Amino acid sequence: MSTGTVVKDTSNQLNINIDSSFIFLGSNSYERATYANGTGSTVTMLAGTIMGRVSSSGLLLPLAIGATDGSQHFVGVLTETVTVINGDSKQVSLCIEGKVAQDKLVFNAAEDLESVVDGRQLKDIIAGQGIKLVATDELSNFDN
Amino acid sequence: MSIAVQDARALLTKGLVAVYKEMPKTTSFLRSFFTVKESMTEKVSIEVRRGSEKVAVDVTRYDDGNLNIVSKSTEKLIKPPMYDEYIIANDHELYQVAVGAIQTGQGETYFKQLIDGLAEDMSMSVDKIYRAMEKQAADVLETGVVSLTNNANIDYGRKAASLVAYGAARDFSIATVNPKEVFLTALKFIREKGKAQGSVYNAILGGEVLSALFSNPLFQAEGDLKDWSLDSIREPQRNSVGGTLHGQISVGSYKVNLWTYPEVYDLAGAQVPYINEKKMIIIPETTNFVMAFSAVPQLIENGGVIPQKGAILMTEYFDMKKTAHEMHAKSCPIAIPVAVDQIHTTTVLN
Repeated sequence: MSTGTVVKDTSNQLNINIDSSFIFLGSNSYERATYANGTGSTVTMLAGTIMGRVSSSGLLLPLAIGATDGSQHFVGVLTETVTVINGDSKQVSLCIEGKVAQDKLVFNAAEDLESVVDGRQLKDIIAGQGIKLVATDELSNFDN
Repeated sequence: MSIAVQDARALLTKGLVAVYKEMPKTTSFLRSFFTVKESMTEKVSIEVRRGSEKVAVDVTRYDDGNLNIVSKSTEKLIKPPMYDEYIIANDHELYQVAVGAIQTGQGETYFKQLIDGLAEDMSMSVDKIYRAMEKQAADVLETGVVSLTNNANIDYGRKAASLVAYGAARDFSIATVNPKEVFLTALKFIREKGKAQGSVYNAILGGEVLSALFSNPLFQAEGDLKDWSLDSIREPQRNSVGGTLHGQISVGSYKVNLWTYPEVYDLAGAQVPYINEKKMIIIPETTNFVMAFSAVPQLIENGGVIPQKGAILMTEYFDMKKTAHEMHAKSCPIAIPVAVDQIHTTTVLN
């Protein structure tokens, strides 16, 4: 899905940077799951966020390698940006299989693909679930 | 107002032997680098996708290969400024004469003179608009910002490296400065950042810059090299759009045409050159710039006259009650550097 970012906006000039790149590149499978916001404030999770699941409730959370409630384990990649107000819950879509653009993954604050969970790096855990991370080479750019 | 005595005696005491009407025509040298595009919309837009010159990296035989994507672009929407210049036809000195002469049988003669006179007056009004377009082009080439009076300026965001401020190391009037090094810096920018790939470039020099260049001893010495033919400086040749070509020089792997543009416009009583006397502008021989015209606000009139597109829209308005006959020239032009990094400006002199 294309995203547009306004970079200049005057009474007679409007410049928009358009990014039409994809996160999910093919052979993808998806499933739905629930995210419940109990953080105390509105949460926005970006498309590409890697997600974990709380073992006791089955609810999603952004993956955090330091967690011990089960959300330290990878379950899928969030397919769309979602905003959930405090106390609300929302069905969201996860990609659980197929090719995914590696540079589009969104991590929680501390994680990256080399982060270790239960003795394995995240990239191996993700690959083991059937997600093929693909490095992309962007050949275009925005104008001045 | 009383009638002047000489009106009655003119034919007896004097004869008109010559008339001089100072009507300098607007030249279009700078606009000639901009392709004209006309549109019937209020706004115009360009879409720009900047490229790269990346090199493929070898892979092993059992590799999936490198996935390339082309997904980034920038859309720029612009609402061009409007110019509206008009005259009041019935204020023309021949208007009432022509009306009166209808009774005398000489109406046709005076009417033709009136039409010629109005056409001249409108032509001068239209020239003001053409000068505004030429100044827009000059603004784009000099700063990248089209400077407007009653609208927000239109800034194309030229890279800082394309707008080089004065520095002694680039001053042609200093004997130890090699002007070709300054040229080469500009050409490298246009090639590397602007991705221009031609071998011939146009340098538009301010008048003082040209003088300093021709007086520079290092530049002169290279022109004196025996059995080398690097540069060809010739007598100035004015072209049909007002630019003056002084010759062609070689700079590194490139050839550069040396131009000046000795045209000015009036600003608050002063004559201002379109090209700053102390600056040098370099652009490719084949440019990717547009002079776009958006629609002038119009109505669908009775009788099915449909709105028109074009560079200049000429319209007439009659108000019988106020006995007013206005003739307007309207235009909504905007100079757009589509390939914005293919312009380089250096302030050569202090």
